[in-house]
Amino acid sequence: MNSTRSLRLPPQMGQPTTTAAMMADVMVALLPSLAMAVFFFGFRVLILTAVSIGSCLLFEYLYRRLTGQPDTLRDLSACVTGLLLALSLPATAAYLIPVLGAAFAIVVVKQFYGGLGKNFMNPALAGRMLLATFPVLMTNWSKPLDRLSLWEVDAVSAATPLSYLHTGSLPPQGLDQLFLGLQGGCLGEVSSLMLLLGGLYLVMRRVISIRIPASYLGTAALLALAFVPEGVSAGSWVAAQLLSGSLIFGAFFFATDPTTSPVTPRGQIMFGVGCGALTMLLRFFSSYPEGVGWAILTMNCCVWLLDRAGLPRRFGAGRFSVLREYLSRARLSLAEIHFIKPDLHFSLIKEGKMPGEAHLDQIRTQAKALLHLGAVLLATVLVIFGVHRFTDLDTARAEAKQQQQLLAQVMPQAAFSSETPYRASGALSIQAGYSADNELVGYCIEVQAQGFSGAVTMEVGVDLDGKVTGVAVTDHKETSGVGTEAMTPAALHRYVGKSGTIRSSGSNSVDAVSGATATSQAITAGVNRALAIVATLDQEGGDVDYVDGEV
Amino acid sequence: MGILDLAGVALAALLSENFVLVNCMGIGTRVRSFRDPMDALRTGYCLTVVMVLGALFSWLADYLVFTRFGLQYYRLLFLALLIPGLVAGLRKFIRVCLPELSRRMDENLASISTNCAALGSALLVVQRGYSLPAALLFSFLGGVGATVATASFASLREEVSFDSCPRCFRGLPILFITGGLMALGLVGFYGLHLG
Repeated sequence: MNSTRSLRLPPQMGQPTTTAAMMADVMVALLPSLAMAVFFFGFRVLILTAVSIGSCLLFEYLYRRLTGQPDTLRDLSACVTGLLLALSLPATAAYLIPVLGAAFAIVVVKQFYGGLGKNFMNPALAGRMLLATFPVLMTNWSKPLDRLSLWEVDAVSAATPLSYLHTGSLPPQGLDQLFLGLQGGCLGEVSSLMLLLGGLYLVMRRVISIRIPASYLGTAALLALAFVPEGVSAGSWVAAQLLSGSLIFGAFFFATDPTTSPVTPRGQIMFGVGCGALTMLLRFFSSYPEGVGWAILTMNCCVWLLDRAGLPRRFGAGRFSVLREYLSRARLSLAEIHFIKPDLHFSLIKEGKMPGEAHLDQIRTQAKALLHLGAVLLATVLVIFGVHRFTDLDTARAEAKQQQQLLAQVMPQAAFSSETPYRASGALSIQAGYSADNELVGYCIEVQAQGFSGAVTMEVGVDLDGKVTGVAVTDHKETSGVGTEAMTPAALHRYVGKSGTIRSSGSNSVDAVSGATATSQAITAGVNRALAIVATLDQEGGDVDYVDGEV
Repeated sequence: MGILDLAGVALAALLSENFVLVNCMGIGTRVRSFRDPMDALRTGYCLTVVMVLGALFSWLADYLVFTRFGLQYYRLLFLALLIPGLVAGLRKFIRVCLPELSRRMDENLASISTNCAALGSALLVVQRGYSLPAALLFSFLGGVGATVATASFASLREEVSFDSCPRCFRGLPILFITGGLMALGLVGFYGLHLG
């Protein structure tokens, strides 16, 4: 009778009831990944994490203090932001980088909109993606078990599994290595095992629901299955896609942020599906190898729509009742718009006036309005015409000089070039270069190839032996300082003398300029295309046609 | 152009070269469209129609007149007249023949006459030398992308409170920051190409 009764109410498993408890759970869930990162990358990871969390706390405290608002450090949300930000950096990141990310994440993305619960974008993710737009800061991935010192960052950078997947081949690490974490990448994303453990802990503690991660990973797996490249087994491709990069990290820790993900169950599933679809679209077709962050950020802007679409239906209403009601209302509203046949007869001759005068009355008002416009138009046309007449000779001279300079770079042996009436698919124009005594020296082909941020247009000179005489880039959208390193005269000079198909490694190859891989590959692809066009120029049935008529 | 090229152009116009968030051609849209989602949708429909017709006429003019006679230096003047003229013609036609539609959409249609995206799509289409189907697809999906971006921004304004920032940021600055954050999400789509 006097036995102590348990005062805990069901359910017996405790659930976090305060924000701080929930945030503490998230930090506990991230501890295994942090420990694994320290094991792989050394104690530098701990200092980086400390700097990140410290700067997040500092910025939040300063902002709240300077704007006279109550202190919110107690709810530990800034700690979680700092930890997530730190875990999404590469191990070679300088110590200033998390400070910059923390400033942007805490002050701009979170506090400017009202603090915890009022932001519309995930702060840690937005900070991470801001850092990703500085291409030089974040692309140095070190190998695992290559423990870095605290001061000097002198790592050997290795290709991450994602870069292998981006080119369509399986990464050299086996699936078990990818699962355990023996891969290059961000601190938190390497070890899928620890991330899954942490995610499982969060689901069991009811901090997050399994809907978003399950739909995200499921959609990603289905789309990876749909786009298997040839020569690769489907199962290992799907598994490699799921286990490399920050897919699991993003699905469990970034996409499930309660403020920036939908509240309704159906909305959550649609959110996960959308994130998965965008991630795979970006992974397969964009210039960046990783698409998780951009996908989640884009879906964060659509959360309002998903919540509205995922509202549970009224009890007793049919399945699509809201949609049907909306459609019927739209149909009623559109039915009010009738087409009225216009009254198109003019009476030119009115009574009481000389024939022709009434017509002038009608158009006098209109003519007055249009007269001013007509006068300005006439003046503008005359000015344009005059300027063109005065300058067209200079323009033509400047164009000819530019053409001559281009020719000197592309085919130094030629004295002048002229356009040929050949058309080939993939070539913007085919010009023939002639030496000073009118002998055909070679062909200059203008081709385009997809670089990092757009099309790179280049002119390639090929002589009659099928050897490259020179390459010049005429138009590009690459980032200056990064992609343009592959377009310097020294870099382009390496193509001179090559023939056949230029590969990226091995015999008959031109190495990609480090830091500008996509641009180098684009230029190589363009040169190969030009070489292929010249090779089929004399053959019947090649893809070059002779177009008669105007050139 | 093959189907894959057309699809690439379409996807680019929608996402990686979004007229409002990436190409920064949202100037000229009326202020109410950035505040009210329904108004944003109406302006977006009008903008899409004007963009498609503008691209069609500018492509035809370029093909029939400007390139044939070598008068490319008159192109910009022609386009500056084409878009407002097109909008005026459309307004007159809708006012005479579809008065109910005119009652609802006349203000929105009138605001398109100075919209950057309309002139921008007509100019980009001839500058890049697209074929006719690619030009129509590019302008149509560019209009759809601009509509989605403006409607998203207007809906976001209804959901998020913009008064919690420091006083110097209230009003227009925080709206610009929000637009910038939306555009940050689209940075990953730069250089997206199919095939």
